[in-house]
Amino acid sequence: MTLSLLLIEDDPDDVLLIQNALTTHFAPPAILVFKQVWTEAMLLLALQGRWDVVISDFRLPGFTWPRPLEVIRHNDPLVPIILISGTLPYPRGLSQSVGAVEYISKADMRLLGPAVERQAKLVYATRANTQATHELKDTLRNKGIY
Amino acid sequence: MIELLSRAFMRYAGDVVIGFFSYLLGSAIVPSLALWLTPDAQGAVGLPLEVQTLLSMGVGGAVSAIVLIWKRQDDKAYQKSLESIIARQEVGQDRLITIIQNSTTAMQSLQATVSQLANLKQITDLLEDVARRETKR
Repeated sequence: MTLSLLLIEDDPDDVLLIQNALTTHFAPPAILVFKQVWTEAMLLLALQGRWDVVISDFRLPGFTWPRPLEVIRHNDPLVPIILISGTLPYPRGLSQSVGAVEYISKADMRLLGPAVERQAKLVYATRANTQATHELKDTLRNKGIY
Repeated sequence: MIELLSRAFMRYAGDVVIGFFSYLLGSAIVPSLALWLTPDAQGAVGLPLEVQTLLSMGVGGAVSAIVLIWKRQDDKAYQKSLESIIARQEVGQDRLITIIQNSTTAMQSLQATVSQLANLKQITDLLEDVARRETKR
């Protein structure tokens, strides 16, 4: 399994924390591909690729939540976004994470791996479903039924 | 190392700050109490300074200990509710994944059936065409 993860994070220490939490959770043969961005321009460029899960920090200089959410949703309405923060307490974080699929506090980084795994499973299931829908439509069209 | 330090800071920073302020609060209470308990004619404090200081430290420590124990209990309750929310979320998402997977399987079966039926219809049409030609001859 290969997971492409887009990290919207400006702090290199936090990136290490995220990478450590995920590499601990996803043992080989799982392959994790990370890309770190921290500005709107970098994010827009990165969104030209396909990502399984986006992990976004709450507060970045000049690029604070919910701006990353708006940019991502404008470009990809379906990719799961996990909001993380070291400063928001859980209830406030949860209320801020409207539009994202999960909120994880940086104090509870052990929850990040299972959250990413859940979202990745959902993404794979949805992609397989979309592909099956397209194939069915193609078959119906080719056979002159639809 | 950085990770350990970060984790330790995140885990205990709140305890240290709350403990410190509750200690200050507790320490400020005792001189007022001592003044209230043993006033003399001039309103001076009846207890010696050393006793006041000791009492201040003791009460400050006791207050901060109570506050920290209460905070620890609150943290445990928070952790439990968090785990319960996550467990419910996991169950909901597992159900959703199962529904999506079932839908995918159903569509794949439908596609296979449609293909077979279309092929059969094509063969039937061809056979009918051949039969018509044979009848014409």
